[in-house]
Amino acid sequence: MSVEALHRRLKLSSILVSAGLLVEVLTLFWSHPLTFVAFIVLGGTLVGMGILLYLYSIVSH
Amino acid sequence: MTSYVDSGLAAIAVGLVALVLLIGYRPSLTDARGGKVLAFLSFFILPILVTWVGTSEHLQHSKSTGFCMSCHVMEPYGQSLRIDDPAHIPAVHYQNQLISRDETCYTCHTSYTMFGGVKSKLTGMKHVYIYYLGTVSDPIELYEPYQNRECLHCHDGSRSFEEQELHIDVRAELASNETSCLECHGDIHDVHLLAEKPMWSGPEPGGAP
Repeated sequence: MSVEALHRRLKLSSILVSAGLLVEVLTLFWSHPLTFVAFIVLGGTLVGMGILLYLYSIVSH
Repeated sequence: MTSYVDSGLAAIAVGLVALVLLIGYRPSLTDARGGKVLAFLSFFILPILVTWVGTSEHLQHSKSTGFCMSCHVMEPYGQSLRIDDPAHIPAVHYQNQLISRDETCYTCHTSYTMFGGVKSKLTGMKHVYIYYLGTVSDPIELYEPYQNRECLHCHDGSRSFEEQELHIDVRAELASNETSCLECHGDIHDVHLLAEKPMWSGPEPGGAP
């Protein structure tokens, strides 16, 4: 993989991880029956996808 | 639910977001060895740690009275904790702080077994499913009969319980669940009588974090 492709994937990964972390933070201050579901399903999935993309990027570089 | 751990975790997560976005905005930072290590920490290790601690905080919060009361169908049951009647068992426990007011529901409605906590969390997810996608029974009913084990978790060995003559007579039956505690102490969450019963003016269940 070229350096440009690696940088592009890092950029996308950073967006996914950041969005996931922000969702996770917001749920910590939200009192609602769905907070844990939002934390895991939305936040956890975004963070997980970001991490996987990052790992894939560095191992395929 | 805001606690020091929540606030600290939020501060760390926001700092991490800033760092991750900086690396994403300037990916050439990872060309150097130090940048690679920083990226590994901020894209892999720290997000997992934040998610891990966040999950733990959410599980802890799910035990709180405020969390149970966040479902509207639970409001009458929360109100029943303020019934001013010494025979109403949940109210007596709540008002006299025989159980923690912060974890009122959880204290009596978890299973005191090896995996009782896990079972309670899974049951909680089932509650959420039924609340949003199913039909909540009216009145709300337990999934299985209430076990004496939950009462005896605290009362077993306590003087006021052990020295009560009626308890001595049925001690073995209570331990084996042949006789339910609720056969004598049956005033539990009388939500249909809320309008008729006098109410204690103490703190609202789940009102304070």
